[in-house]
Amino acid sequence: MSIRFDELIEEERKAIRLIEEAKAKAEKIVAEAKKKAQSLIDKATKTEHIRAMLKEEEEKAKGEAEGILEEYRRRLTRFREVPESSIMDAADLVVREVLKFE
Amino acid sequence: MSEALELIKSEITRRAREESEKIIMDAEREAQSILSKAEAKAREVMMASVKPEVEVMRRRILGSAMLEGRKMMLKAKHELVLKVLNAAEEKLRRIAEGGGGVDYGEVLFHLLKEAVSGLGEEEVQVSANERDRSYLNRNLDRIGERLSRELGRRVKLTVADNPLNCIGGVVVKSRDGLRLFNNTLDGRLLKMREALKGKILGVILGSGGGDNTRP
Repeated sequence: MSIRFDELIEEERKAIRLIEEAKAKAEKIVAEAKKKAQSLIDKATKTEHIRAMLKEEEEKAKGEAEGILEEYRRRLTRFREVPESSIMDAADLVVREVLKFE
Repeated sequence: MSEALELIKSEITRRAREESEKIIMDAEREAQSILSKAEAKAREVMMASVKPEVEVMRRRILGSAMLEGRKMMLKAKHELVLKVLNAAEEKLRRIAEGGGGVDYGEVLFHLLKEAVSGLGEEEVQVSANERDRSYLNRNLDRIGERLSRELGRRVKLTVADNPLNCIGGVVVKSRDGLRLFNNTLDGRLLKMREALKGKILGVILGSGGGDNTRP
């Protein structure tokens, strides 16, 4: 019977070891993340990263600018699609105004 | 008894594995959270240092696009207005040549009457293009009488020898040549151009045709 208790104690030891190993691994994962996080924050103040960010923002603004121009181009199609009859109607209006006397 | 012992051992192992996996998963979740926060913080730090520069750059790039867009719109509007004015000029030319279903003799009389009235002189010299000069010379007495009658004062007309280069209408000068009233069709069209722009665009593009410069 005593042999069997030993077996159980041994099994319990193995379990504790497994958990301890997991805890150590977890600590390592978190420590590495903290190190990487600090490095990210440190890099943020470095010129090359600031330059890269500026470039990124510039590209973003250029994209927006292209959108603005595209909207203007879309509106311009309305100008190009004016029918000849509207041009003539407007010309008639001008003629009426020119020939309007007191 | 042996079976029961094996069952307990395997339960101990299963629980230990479960707990280990949970510990690792929690650590990975925490690491992910730390990194996400750091990325946000790094971006915040960078943004704080470049914000004024980014704002200036954005204003420059977006402002330039707006300006270019407005220029395109203004140019397109200008071209449309020009197209209308050219068509109107052509219509006026046809009218002055006796077409367009308009009594041009009547138009010419009113142009003359307005000019003489505006000048306020008794003796005036009338200049016109070749065709209108000829018409005025042929009908000078009749036109002079009608003018005097309608203006309620005596008017003495003479027609200048040199023809004007214009679509139609008249330029009326005082006897001493110091005062002048340009009432040619070309002159009237030119004078009304700016004032009519809004109306022209209103007819062509519908109401609000004047304001399409903003996206």
